Amino acid sequence: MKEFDLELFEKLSKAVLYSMGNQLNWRSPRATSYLLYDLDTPRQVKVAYNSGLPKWRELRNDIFKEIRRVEDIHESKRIIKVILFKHNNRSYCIPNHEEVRRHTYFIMKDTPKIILSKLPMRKSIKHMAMPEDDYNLIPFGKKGTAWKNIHLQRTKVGSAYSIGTEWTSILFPTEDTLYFYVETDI
Amino acid sequence: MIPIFIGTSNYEDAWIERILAYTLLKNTKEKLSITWLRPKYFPDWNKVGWGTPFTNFRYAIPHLMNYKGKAIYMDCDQINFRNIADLYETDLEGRTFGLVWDALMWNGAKWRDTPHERGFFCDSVMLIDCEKAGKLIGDYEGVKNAKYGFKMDIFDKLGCPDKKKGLEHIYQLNPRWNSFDGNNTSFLPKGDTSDMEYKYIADMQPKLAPDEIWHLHLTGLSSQMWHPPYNPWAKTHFNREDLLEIIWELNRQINMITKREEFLND
Repeated sequence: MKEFDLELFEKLSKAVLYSMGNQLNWRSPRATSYLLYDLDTPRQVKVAYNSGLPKWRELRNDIFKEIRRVEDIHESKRIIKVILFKHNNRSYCIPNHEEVRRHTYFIMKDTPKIILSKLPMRKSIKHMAMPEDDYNLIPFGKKGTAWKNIHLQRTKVGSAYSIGTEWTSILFPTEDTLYFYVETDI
Repeated sequence: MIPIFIGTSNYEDAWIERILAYTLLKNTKEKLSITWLRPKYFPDWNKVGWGTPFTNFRYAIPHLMNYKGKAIYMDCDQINFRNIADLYETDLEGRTFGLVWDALMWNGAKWRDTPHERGFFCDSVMLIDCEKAGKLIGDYEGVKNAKYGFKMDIFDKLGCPDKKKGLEHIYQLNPRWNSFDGNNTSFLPKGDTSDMEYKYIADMQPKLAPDEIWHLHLTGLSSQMWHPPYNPWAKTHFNREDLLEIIWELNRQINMITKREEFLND
């Protein structure tokens, strides 16, 4: 967990929420997402995804520099994806797991506790409005900190629901959780 | 008053709807009557197999106009750059529709290796003579219950995709009125394109400069920069930086009006 330049990222997140339309992304089903940058473009498309949002174009290099500083990524390594996610009371997050990439969450809000549910997924989603006792709240870091490799957090047996493995594979961020999801080369 | 009907979704295309409405109003002094054709307004329609949330609604326009006068139809994923009255006042010379010729449209295996393999009139911008179109399309109940492919049923009656036959009933509009992603929509590149993917052929079409485009149509579902949630395709970059800059500037102007307080506090 490392601190990043919150002011810089906030300038961007404010502009994104103000100017862009709501999108969907499978990494956090039902959440609102805003794609800013993506090198994983389909084979026949020659150009990498680079949002035309003026504030993104203005701040992109500074954002990239800060990501490299926080993540200690060499200039030769790629920043592959930048997406802003905003959660609601129905959305959940599937922490990505690829050996060749690092997945980092730049937390933008003060209420970023992640709920690891004790219940099976369907019940968990149905019962998101239940009292907090039903969930195992883990500190997801305070605003202005970057978390990486969330999927590698081991869940204690009986303390959290994990699909198929003992690694964290589904998270229920609380409503209004806001973070930049960043994928980079390792 | 110019009647304009816009096919759209319930809420997923709100970002581009604002830009379309803003530019239509910005570029004309005429009064416009804009009707949004949304799925929630047509709950009991047969929508099975539609490629968009609004595919067949456009064919209800003659009925909605009481089979009188002219009307304009357009999809929501468009941006206007020229006085829409100029389109409305186009003389159809007794024909039913005014449409742009989409030179790249592939007409399916039925027309493979024939002169009509590619090319069709596109119905995403239409100037409609409602009386004539009503007779051609048939009654409202028929449109409501029509199966997938209704467009082809109608245009088959006009002899399409044979362009010569089609032109007996269709007035061919300047392609600038429906410029697909900034291209000259009616231009067919020379040479054998039969085995080429649409995207590669489209790259061979002339790119219109921004001030040459009268009405832009953002046809690439993947590259529509607002990425409507109903679209299952991958998100890709819209590869016209000059147009992107204009589109985001229009978005900024709209935010100045619709989110005035937030804008002033920025």
